[in-house]
Amino acid sequence: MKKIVCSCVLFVSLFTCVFCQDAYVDYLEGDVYIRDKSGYKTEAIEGDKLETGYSVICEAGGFAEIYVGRTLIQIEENTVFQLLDKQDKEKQTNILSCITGSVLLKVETMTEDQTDLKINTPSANCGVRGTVFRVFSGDDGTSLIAVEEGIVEVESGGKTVELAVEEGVEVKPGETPGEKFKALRGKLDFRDWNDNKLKDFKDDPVTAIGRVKNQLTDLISKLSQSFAVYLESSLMLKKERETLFAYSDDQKEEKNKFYKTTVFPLEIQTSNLFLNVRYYALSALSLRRYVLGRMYIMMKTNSIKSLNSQVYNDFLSVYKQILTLFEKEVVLHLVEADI
Amino acid sequence: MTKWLISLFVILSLAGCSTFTVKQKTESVYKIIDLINKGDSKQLITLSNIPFMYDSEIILLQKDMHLLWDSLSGSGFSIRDPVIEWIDTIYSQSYALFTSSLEGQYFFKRYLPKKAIITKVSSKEGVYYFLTGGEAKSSMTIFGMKGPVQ
Repeated sequence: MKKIVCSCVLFVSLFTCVFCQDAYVDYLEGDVYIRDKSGYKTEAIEGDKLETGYSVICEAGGFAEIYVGRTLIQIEENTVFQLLDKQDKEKQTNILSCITGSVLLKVETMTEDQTDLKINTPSANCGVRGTVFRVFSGDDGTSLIAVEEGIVEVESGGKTVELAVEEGVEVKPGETPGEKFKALRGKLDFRDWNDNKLKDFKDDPVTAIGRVKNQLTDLISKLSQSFAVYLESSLMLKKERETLFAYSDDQKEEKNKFYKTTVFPLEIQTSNLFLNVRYYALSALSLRRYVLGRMYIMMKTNSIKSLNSQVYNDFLSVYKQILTLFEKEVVLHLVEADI
Repeated sequence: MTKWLISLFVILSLAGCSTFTVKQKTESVYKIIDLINKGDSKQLITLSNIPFMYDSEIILLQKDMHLLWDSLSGSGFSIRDPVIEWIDTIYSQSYALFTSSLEGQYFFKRYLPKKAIITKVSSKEGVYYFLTGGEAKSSMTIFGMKGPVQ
């Protein structure tokens, strides 16, 4: 199985090495790094090009402005922001993922022929068209989306909420969006909000980790579905390639026609379907690394003198279940460079 | 003359490598434990490499490194009566001492320097494992910690 995944990565990389829209680093302050799709981390430089699978990491005191097409993204300190692609309704969609931390997005009004752009967090998906809005991704995996201009649709758990100017919504991992609230422009502070999330986590860590498990289960379900569809397409591709290779040398014209009309569209379809497999696998990895990992560090270090306590062991029990689930269902879709 | 100087340089360099003995490696790990017991999170953050493995978690952000050491220090964490049981170089199965996951395997393969060492420390609370650099210049660089394992 691992072999299949690795060969797929090579195959897909031929088709999807560049993010649909031009993306680059425009302005930097402090410690900002870029982690490329090979997993190598280098100090960011203004003008750096960004591609699918790249992450921009703003450490404490860091700040970055990047452009994706005509969309400006201001990335605050302690934030990990990733560029991904996904096939959505037969169309390749750019996904901007605020994995942890906070960003402000200024999305220019897009024309019909432009590639779709979506903003995701560990717990929510946002659809936008010409708007300014903030996204917070907290240490417990909760997201907050607040609109300053335009309209944003926030989806989670099959429920969609539409946010207008100065409206916000919070989404906990594995749950549907909460109630909309008034979010006055410039009045939201990520640090205060995140401190409250941390307090909630400390008050009830077992419920918080349970939510992460639900979110991961949901991602795994989508990952499995995507992989099944992808496998079906790649098997069909293999079959059609065998037919292609069966053409004799004197059937060059028919062979070319068969390639153009049958094999090539299948190659494109298969590579696009693989984007979804990668998208869900990487989303699960982000949840595991930046939300679950941080929860574990907080819980263990705070309980270091009472590791036999009931709360810690209840937390640990769910944590171990998540790790087992992740190892069994997600890791086979990852490559060494992702880790 | 030049040849003689090059030879001398090579001999001195090799001598420098070989003088980083097990005793010195042991001392470096005891120094790290001493910093932990003093609650010197600032120094521990400086000495910790990113990526860092804590139990089976891979730490990739400075923020999380601060969280780890500041929180341990704030909780009054210490390693009581530490005794170094053994020091070993990293081999292909070493990751299993930290975690059985493929992630752990990748971490050991990808992020540890060639001469990194693993040290087993027993204490009143249980066993700890430390991943550190195995050369004089990196002996105080911490790549990972696991424990207490009871």
